[in-house]
Amino acid sequence: MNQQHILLVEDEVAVAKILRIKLEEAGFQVTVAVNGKEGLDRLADGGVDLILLDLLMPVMNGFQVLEALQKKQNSTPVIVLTNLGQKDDIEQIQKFGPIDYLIKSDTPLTKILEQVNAKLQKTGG
Amino acid sequence: MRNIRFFLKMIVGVCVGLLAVVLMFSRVGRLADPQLETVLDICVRYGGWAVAVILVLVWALDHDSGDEDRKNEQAREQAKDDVMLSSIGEGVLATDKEGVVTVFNKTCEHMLGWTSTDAIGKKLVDVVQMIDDRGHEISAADRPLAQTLAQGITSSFVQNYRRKDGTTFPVSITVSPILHEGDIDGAIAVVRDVTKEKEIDRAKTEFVSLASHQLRTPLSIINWYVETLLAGDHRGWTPDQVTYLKQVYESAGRMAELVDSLLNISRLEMGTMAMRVEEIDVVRLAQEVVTELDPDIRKYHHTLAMQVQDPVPHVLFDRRFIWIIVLNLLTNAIKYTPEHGTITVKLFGEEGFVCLNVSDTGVGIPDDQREMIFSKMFRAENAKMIDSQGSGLGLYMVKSIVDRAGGTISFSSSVGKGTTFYVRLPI
Repeated sequence: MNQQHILLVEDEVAVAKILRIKLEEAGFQVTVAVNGKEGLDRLADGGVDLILLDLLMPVMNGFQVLEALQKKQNSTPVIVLTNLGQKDDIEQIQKFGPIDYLIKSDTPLTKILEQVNAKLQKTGG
Repeated sequence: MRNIRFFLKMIVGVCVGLLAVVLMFSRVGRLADPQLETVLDICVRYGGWAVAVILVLVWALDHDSGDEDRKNEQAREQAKDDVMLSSIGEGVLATDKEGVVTVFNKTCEHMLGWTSTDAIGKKLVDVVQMIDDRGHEISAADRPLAQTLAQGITSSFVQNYRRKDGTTFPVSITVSPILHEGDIDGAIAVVRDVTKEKEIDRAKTEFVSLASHQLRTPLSIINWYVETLLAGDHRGWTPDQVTYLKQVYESAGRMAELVDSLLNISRLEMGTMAMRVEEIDVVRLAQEVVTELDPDIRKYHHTLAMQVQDPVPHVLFDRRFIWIIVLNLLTNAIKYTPEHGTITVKLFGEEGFVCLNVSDTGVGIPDDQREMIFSKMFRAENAKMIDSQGSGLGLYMVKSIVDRAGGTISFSSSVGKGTTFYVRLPI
């Protein structure tokens, strides 16, 4: 079975590092992009099965990435991984469809891995 | 003072009037000189007439000056009203019963860009447009002024007004009817520009959002790294080192909970809490909370009983909030009950409500602190003795959520015997 490829779009180095370690341990191939623009560039290279997307990032934020994906009709599954959890933020995410989101500080790493596996299974990725 | 003057005038007037009448009809007694008698008679009679005429003239002039006084008084009152209306910080406008503007104060002029000359004599709806939050104009019939004029009720609301230059701004308006002998004679609207308040609200929301992000990011990093260390290989570590690390993990978890509680509270207070409404089986949810708290229940050697009177209808609300309610009530029951206590969770349906009663055999709430128990950051004295770490946010949060859900919460308690909290949530 081919390794599944996860694109992690995250500007916080410490967050990206631990997520990469855990995801790689779980058998995924991980590419890290430090902002939305870089994320879209990596995505264009192809082969991404799932995007783990932060929202607050320099250069291009997560909302702009979701908007770009919608425009390009790119249906790569996305899990938003953020510490924003206000009504406005969530409504803004939901505008781009029923996108899963996890609040970082409330979610242990094991739960994130579970969610990634569940999402990939559901989408058959 | 005015009355005394009036009475004095009356007395003097009557006396002088009588004197005039007496003079008019008086005759000088017979004199030796008939010619002198005739002259004096004429003088007295005409003197009486003259006094009468002077009296009438004085009365008329005085009456005129009374009118003048009243006019001056009215002008003074008017000037006072004008100053009051123009110096008042709020916009004040009045209409007659047809909704035609009769008063439009200076603050209204500054706020709206229309002069009182523009507005007075015209229907308010034709001068000032009211706009809803989506930018649509509110029709004349739907405006509160129309309702006040039709029903005679006072109403307060926040909407947007459009200025003469086309820009809009938020206003808080109170419209009250002018009632005269039971009839609605018109209405008075007091208008306050709430642009600043809205800006402050927005700033607060932004602050909460920022705090949310900034505080949570380092917490999630601590949590994830310690989680990774604890899940890894502990060989080569002393047992103390493992304990220290667990302590860090627990504290970070507690801090994350505290940050969450504070953020939840500020969101609840500001109404910015995102709601994920779904059908909730409260019985199942309560069982899940009990399972999560099982280690604590065992630690205290408590006995926990669930009493469910079927059928318990489902509740339409956000699951996370119901979880917070059940979790906090149960945590308090466990924490504030001496070891080997009994905790009872009772669930039943009643007239459109789901009732949740959580009883314990704990320390109880002191009588003099009952009223404070749902206050933010409040902790009862006996609770502080048992646990010094609590934040005093739990019951406040529970009450805020129950209120938000349209339910009720109450309790009965006896010091040293126990407490029962009664929650009713609409289905």
